Amino acid sequence: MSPTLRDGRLWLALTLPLLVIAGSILRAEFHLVQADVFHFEVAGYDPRDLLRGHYLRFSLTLDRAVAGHDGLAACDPAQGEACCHCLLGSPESAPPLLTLTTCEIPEATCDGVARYGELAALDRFYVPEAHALEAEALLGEARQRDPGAALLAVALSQNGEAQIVDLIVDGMPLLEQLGAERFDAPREP
Amino acid sequence: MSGAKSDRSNYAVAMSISRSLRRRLDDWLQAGLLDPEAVARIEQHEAERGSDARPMLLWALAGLGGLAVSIGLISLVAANWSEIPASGKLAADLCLGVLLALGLGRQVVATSHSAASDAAPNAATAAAGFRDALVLVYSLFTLSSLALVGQIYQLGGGVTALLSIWTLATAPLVLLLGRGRMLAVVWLSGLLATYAALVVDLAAALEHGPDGGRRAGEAVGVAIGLLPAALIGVARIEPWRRAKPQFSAIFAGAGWLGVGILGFGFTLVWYEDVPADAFERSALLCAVIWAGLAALVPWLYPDHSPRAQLGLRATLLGIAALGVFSLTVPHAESGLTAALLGLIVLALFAWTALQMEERRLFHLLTAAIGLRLLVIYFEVFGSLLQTGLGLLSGGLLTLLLTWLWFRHSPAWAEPGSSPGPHSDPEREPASTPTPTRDEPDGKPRK
Repeated sequence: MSPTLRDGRLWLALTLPLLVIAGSILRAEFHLVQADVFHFEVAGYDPRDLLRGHYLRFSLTLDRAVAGHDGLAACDPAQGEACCHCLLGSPESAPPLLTLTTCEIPEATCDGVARYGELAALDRFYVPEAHALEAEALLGEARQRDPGAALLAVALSQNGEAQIVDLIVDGMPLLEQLGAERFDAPREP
Repeated sequence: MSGAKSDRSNYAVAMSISRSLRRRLDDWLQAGLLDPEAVARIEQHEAERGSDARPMLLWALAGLGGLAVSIGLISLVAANWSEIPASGKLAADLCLGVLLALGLGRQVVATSHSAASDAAPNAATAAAGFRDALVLVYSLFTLSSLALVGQIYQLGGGVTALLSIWTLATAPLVLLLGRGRMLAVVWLSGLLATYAALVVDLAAALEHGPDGGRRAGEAVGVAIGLLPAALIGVARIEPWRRAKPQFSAIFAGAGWLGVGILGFGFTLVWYEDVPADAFERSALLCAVIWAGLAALVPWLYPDHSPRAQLGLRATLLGIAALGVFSLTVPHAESGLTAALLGLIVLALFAWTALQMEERRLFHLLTAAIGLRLLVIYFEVFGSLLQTGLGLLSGGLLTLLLTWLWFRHSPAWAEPGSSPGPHSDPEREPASTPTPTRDEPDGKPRK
C-alpha cells in the first residue's frame, strides 16, 4: 500500500536525508564558531594519493610531550583507557605543547584539550584537482626551507573534538596562495 | 462500407502486435496447437494491451536526451568546480535535494492515485519503476552530498562514518517507498559495504591490546558467519515478505549465496596447513548460529514441502559442520580432501535446489559440479597438459562431462523426481502451465 501525504512516515522518509545533510553542515559550522584554533606542525607528508582522492597526505608532529605536568594523571591508551591530549600554549601561536593524560582534566589546567586519536586522524587536506601539483610543490619547497613552515590550523571544541580549518604554508593559507576558492568557514578568532 | 471498416480494424489489430508474436501465432496455427478463433482472440487481446503498452522508443529517445543534458551539466560544473564558492556548492546541493524530495513526493502521490483508480497495469508498473528510480537517485544524492560536506569542511571522519550515516538517513526512504529488485540490489550493496567497513573498524580497534590479533580475527570470523544467517532470517520474516517481496527475495538470495560461498570457501581451507585452534571459537559460534537458523527453517519456509525444508536444514547444518571440521581440526595441506569436500558441498546444494523445484539453479549447480571435476583433473594431471596425450585425455573428459550433463541433467530435474508443488510469493508457481509438446496425455495443449 502506497503512503499518502497525510502519512507522517512519508514526510520522515523524504525529509530525513535533507535534515542529515543540513545537520552535518550546521554541525561543522558550529564547531568552527565555538572552537579554539591551534596550529600544529605538519611533518612527514606524502604527495597526493591518487587512489584516495585529491588529498595532500601528512602526519602531525605530536611528540612535544611534557612529562610530569602538575595535576595531570598519567594515561596509557594501549591499556584501553580513554586518554586526552592536554595542550599548553595560546591558540594561534607556536604549536602547543602536549601531555597525554586522562580526560578528567581539572578546569583551567590546559589551554585546549583533544581526545586521543582525534589529532592523529587529521592526516589529509583536500586540494582542488586543478591546483594539486602546484600545492604539492608549494608544500615541498616550504618544508625544504624550514620544517616548521607548514602548519595545520585545527579547531578544537571544548569536548576535545578536532576539525581542520586550514593548511598554512609560510604564514598564509595554502588555498589562498593557490588562488583557488577559499574555504569560507568562520575565521579564526 | 462495413467490409472496408472491418478491413481497417483488422489491419489495425495486425499492426499493433509484434512481428515475433505474429510469427509464433502462425507457427502454432499451422502446427494445430491453436485454432483460428483462438488466434483471433489472442490478437484482439494483444491489440487492446498495445494501446497502453510502454512506448519504448519514445522512452529511449527521452532517456538519451536526458542523459546528454545531464552529462553536459556535469561537465560544466566539473570544469568550474574549483571556481564555485563553497557556500554556492552547499546551497546548490540543498536546493537540488529539496527538488528531488518534492519530485519524489509528487510521484508517490501520483502512484497512490493510479493504484487507487483502475489505471492500466503497464502504466502502474511504469509509475512504480519511475518512483524506484527517484528513490535510488535521492539515496545516492544523499551519499554524495555527505561526501561534499566532508570535502568542504575537511572532515576526516572516514568511510565508515560516512556509510553509516548514509545508511541510517536513507533507510526510511528506501524501506517505505522502494519496491523493485534493482533498488533492492543497490541498497543491499550499500548495506554490505557499510557492514564491511564497520567490521574492519572493529577488527582494527580490537587489534590493540594483548592477544589483539586473535581477538580481531575471531570478531571478523563471527561477523562473516553471522551475515548470511542474518540476511536469510530477516528476508523470511513474514510481514517483511508480504510488504517487500522483491527485497525479501534479494536478501534471501544474497544470504544463500553467502552460505554457498562460505561452504565452498571452507573446502578451499584444505589447500593450506591449518594449525591447532586457529579459528576455534569463531567457527563454533557461527556453527551454533547456523544450527539455530536450521531449527527455524519450518517457520521461515512454512510453504515449502517437508523435503525442501529437509534440504535447507541439511545444507545449513552440513556447511556449519564443514566449517567446524575445516577450521578447528588441525590438518596438513590436502588437495584431495578439498576436491572431495567441494563436490559434496555442490551436490548438497544441487539436491536441495531439486527439492525446492529450483530447476535453473539445479542445472547451474550440476554444471558447477562438472566444472569442479575438470578443475580436479587439471590439478592432478596439470603437468600432462604440456603433452599431446594430456591434452587429448583432458579434451575427452570435457566432452564426456558435457555429454553426461546434457544427457542426464534434464531427467534428474523431472517433476516426478521431486515432491509436489508449493507456493512461494518470491517465485513463479511451479505449476505454471507452459506450452509443451510433451503433455502427459500426448495431446497438444489448446
